Amino acid sequence: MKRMLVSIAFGALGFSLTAPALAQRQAPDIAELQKLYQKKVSEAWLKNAGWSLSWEDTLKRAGKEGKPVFAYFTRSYSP
Amino acid sequence: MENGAFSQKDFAKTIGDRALLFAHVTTRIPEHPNDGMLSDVGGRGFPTIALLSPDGELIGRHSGPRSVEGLAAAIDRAAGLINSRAMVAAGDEAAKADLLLYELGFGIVADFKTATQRFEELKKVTPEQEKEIGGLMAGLEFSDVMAQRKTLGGKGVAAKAYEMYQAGRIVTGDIEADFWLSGVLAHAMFQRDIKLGEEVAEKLSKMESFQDPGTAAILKRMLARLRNHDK
Repeated sequence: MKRMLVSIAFGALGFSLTAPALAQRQAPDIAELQKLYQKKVSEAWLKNAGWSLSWEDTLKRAGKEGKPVFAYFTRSYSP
Repeated sequence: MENGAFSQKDFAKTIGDRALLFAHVTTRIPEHPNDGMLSDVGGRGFPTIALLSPDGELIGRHSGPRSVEGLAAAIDRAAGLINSRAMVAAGDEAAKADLLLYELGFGIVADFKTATQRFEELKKVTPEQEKEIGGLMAGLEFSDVMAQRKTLGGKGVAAKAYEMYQAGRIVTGDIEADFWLSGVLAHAMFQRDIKLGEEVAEKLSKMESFQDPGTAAILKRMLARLRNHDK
C-alpha cells in the first residue's frame, strides 16, 4: 500500500513538472500562426488571379452574377 | 496547383470568367472566421477543390485533372448541373436526362438502385445520353459488385465483371473502367480464355494507368501466362 502511495506521489510530481512544458509545446503560437497566414495570403498566385478570401463577399457576388463558386481549400499553418 | 494551374497566365481569364474564385485558408488561429469550413464541404485534406452553386450549395468536390482545361471543364459541368436543375424545376422533361448525367458525374446520385430508378423514369433521352448514362451506371453496378467481394470471392467478382462485359454494360471513367476491365481479364485467366484475355488486354493497354511501364509489364506477363498455360 505504502509503495503504491509512493508511486502515485512520484507520478503526480512527475506530471506536475512535465505538464507546463507539454502545454507550452502544444499551445499554438498565435503570433507565428498570424505570420504564416499573412505570408500565405500574399503569395503571387493568390494575389494575381482575383481570388476572394471572404466567403460572405463571394456568396454575395455569386448570387448577383449567377455564377458558380470555385472554392480552393489550403492551409497556412503548415507547408 | 498553386505553382501549377493557378499560376498560369490563362487561369484568371479561363476560370475567372466561369466562376467566382474563393480561396479558403485554414489557419488554426483561434476565432479566425470560417476556419473549419473545409469539413462543411466534406473535404478531408489539403488541397481540396469544391464547386458550389451561386447560393452556396455544395455541388461536388473536384478530383479530376488539375490543369486549367480540366478545372474549366469541371466548372462547365457544375454550371450545366445548375442550369439543368432550373430547367427541370420549370417543367422541362428533356432536361431530366442531362440532370441525371451531371448528378451521376458529381456523385450526387451514387447508388445503382437510385440511378436505375431515375433512368427508368426518364421520358426523353437521346441515344448519346443513354450511352453516357449507361456507362456511369455500369460503374455504380460494379461498385455494388465490389462491395460484395467478401461473399463473392475473386472468381465471383471476375464472373460478374464478365457478365456485364458480355451484356454490353460498359463501365466508363478512367479509374472505374480500369478496375472493371481488370476484373474481366481475371475472368479470362480463370477460364483460360485466350481470345477474351487478348481482347481485354488490348483495351487495357490503351488506358492511361497502363501507360506506366511497370503496369504495362504486369499486363504483358499475365497475357503470356494465359497463352502458355497449356504448353
